[in-house]
Amino acid sequence: MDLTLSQVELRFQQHVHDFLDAELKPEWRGVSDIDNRTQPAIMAQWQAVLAEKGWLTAGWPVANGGLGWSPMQHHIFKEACSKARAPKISTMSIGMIGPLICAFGTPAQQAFYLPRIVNGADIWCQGFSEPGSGSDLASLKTTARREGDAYVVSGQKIWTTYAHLASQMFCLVRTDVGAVQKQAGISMLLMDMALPGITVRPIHTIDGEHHFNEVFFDDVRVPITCLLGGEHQGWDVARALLAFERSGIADVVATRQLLNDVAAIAAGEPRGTSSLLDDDDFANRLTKMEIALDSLEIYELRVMEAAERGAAKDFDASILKILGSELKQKIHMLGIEALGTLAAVWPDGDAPAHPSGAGRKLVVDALFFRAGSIYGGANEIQRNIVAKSLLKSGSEI
Amino acid sequence: MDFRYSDVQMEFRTSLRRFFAEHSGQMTKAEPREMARRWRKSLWTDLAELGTLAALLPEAYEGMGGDSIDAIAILEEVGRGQGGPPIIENAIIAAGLIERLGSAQQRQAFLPAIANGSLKFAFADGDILAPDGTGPGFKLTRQETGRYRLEGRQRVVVEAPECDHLLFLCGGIGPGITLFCIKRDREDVVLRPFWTLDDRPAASVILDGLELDAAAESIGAIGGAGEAVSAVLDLASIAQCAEAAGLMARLLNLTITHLKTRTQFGQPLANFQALQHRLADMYAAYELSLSLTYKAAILNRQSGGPEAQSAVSGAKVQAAEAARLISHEAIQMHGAMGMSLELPVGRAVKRLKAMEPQFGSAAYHLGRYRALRRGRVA
Repeated sequence: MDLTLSQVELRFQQHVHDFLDAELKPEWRGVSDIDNRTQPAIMAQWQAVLAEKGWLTAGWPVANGGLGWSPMQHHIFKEACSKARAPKISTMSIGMIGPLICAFGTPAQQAFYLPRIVNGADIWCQGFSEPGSGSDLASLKTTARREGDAYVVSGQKIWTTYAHLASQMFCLVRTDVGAVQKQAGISMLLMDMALPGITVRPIHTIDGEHHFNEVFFDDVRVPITCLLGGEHQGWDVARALLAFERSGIADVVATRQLLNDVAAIAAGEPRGTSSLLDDDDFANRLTKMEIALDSLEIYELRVMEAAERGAAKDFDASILKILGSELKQKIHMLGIEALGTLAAVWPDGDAPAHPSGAGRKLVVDALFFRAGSIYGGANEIQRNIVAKSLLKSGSEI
Repeated sequence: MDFRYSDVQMEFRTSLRRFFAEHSGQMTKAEPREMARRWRKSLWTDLAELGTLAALLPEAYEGMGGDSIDAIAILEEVGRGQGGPPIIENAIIAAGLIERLGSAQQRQAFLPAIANGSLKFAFADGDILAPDGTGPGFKLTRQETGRYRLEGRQRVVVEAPECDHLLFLCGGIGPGITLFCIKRDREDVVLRPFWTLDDRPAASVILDGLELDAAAESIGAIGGAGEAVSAVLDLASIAQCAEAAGLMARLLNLTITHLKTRTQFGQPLANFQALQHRLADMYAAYELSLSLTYKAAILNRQSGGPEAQSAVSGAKVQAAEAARLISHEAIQMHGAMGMSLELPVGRAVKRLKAMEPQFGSAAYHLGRYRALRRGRVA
């Protein structure tokens, strides 16, 4: 047993740190998730820097510009970026549709879409959820019927993050309404958001921001060349997404920064001769969360190390997602508690602000991050996955 | 980065697993205390012959020089086998204290005898890790030159009735603490024996003016035991967390088997989502706890600095939290069967409960972790 990185990994880590020191501009640092969404320009600039270096698509297949990094190298890279508070890389474009097009796209599709993803010409959104199909995604009802050289799409998507900024959508549609198995009649289409018949309407969320949208399809004609993977094979294409990423799901570095922010807020709240940070009840709860985070950090490393030698479990990513999102939510709530009455202030205009400056961001982030246990497969679905695997496997824990 | 045990460690775990499986048949519901006695007599010798104790002792004294990773490799397996034998008390605590503090003569007299199982020890720490933190409950006073008098009591000293020698941690002279080793069968040592809830022999130890010969009976200098005790209790805590992880794995496996085989409403319990989700949480808690135990063991092998110490305390806190969740859910999911002495679930739960306050409670370690990490916030 050993917790240290190998010489090769250490050199790689140093290389990443040097690169970040040189290339990551101060004004790009500390841009939160939310600001990422409202300031796509910064994300685009950062992605351009990474693309220049070749690191933007490091996780793609080598034939499509990937670098063949080991799971630990990916982990080192993501950890270093998080520690430097670099803007996030677009999950939808770089993490999801890029690798899917690499795996399932025709040569023509790869030649058209991939360069536009890398150079930022396209921003992608994901058209999966529908009003009647959330966790039960396979029940989706948006239809695409074949008419000549086009699919004619009608129906509705909802909770579509980024749809108002995106130029393209990867969209699950029902191409065979008669399929006996609901998973069998689904296809994935790559849709230009400028096509006639697409209407995007904003959904404002409890954090006061605009992340989500409703997207309506009114007989939208999508060329058949925009079918990704085989017709009626869309479910398998979508499922392939599950296998792409394990690293970074638990978001340990960002959560530790959050924990330190909460501690800083508490240290600034007077309690008698001392501060809230010295209040036994508060400090013990904070400390328990810190210990849980220490544990999660090592668990994530164990998962990476197992992946490195092909021994990862099929539900590792689910556990990382459950633990990471729920711990972060708990820390958010403790932070809100530490803010006291200031937590109730809606932060605009002349509203009083917390002297640490962390207050506004914390409340808004906490509200936004209630979604953390919903998106990417609700935690209830993740628990189903873990339990089914534990109960199916014949081997002992 | 590597979280695997070595081939040698894996082999040893396999032989331990076989050993526990062979003897688990003897653990009948009627005689858990008889079984406990056997673990401290004939089976103790067998366990020693297997090399379990020697594995953790220094090579110079007929041991194999094992480190913290060897300790968790062994104790995790002991937990899977339900635990019971006082390996930590002897091979880690007694051996560790004597190795660090004892004279050459004491080391030679005691360490090989611990390795081969011929001498057993109990450790009366004087409740130094009690939350009130007032220091050992055993107080020394100096008599004429070279002789000391010891008074005090400790309510719960595990293994005291079954050991050959008692190790005492004493305060009273200066700021330091002192370790003494005396024979259990001395007439002036009063033991009030009882059993713990996990069927271990224990006793209240009452000393009312015990005469001690410092030259012969102290282990190390007067007032000089503090650092060694701290280091040895850290290693004991790590090993205990590994034993707890083994017990938690045992409970998870028992619960999974039960959910798959018990049928209600015409289907296995495994089909019910209310239980599936809770099983997932039990498993996640187990993995979190095991992770920090690994970290503590790895850092402990490298050094004993504050980071290693806070990892130990973190591991103890996380193990207590996971043990509670897994224990209570395992009983609940077994239904009334979980209440029965006939099933192994209850014994594993009781072992986990009984070990929790040993080597410092969760509350103690939470406070220690907090103190060690203080200053994190600028």
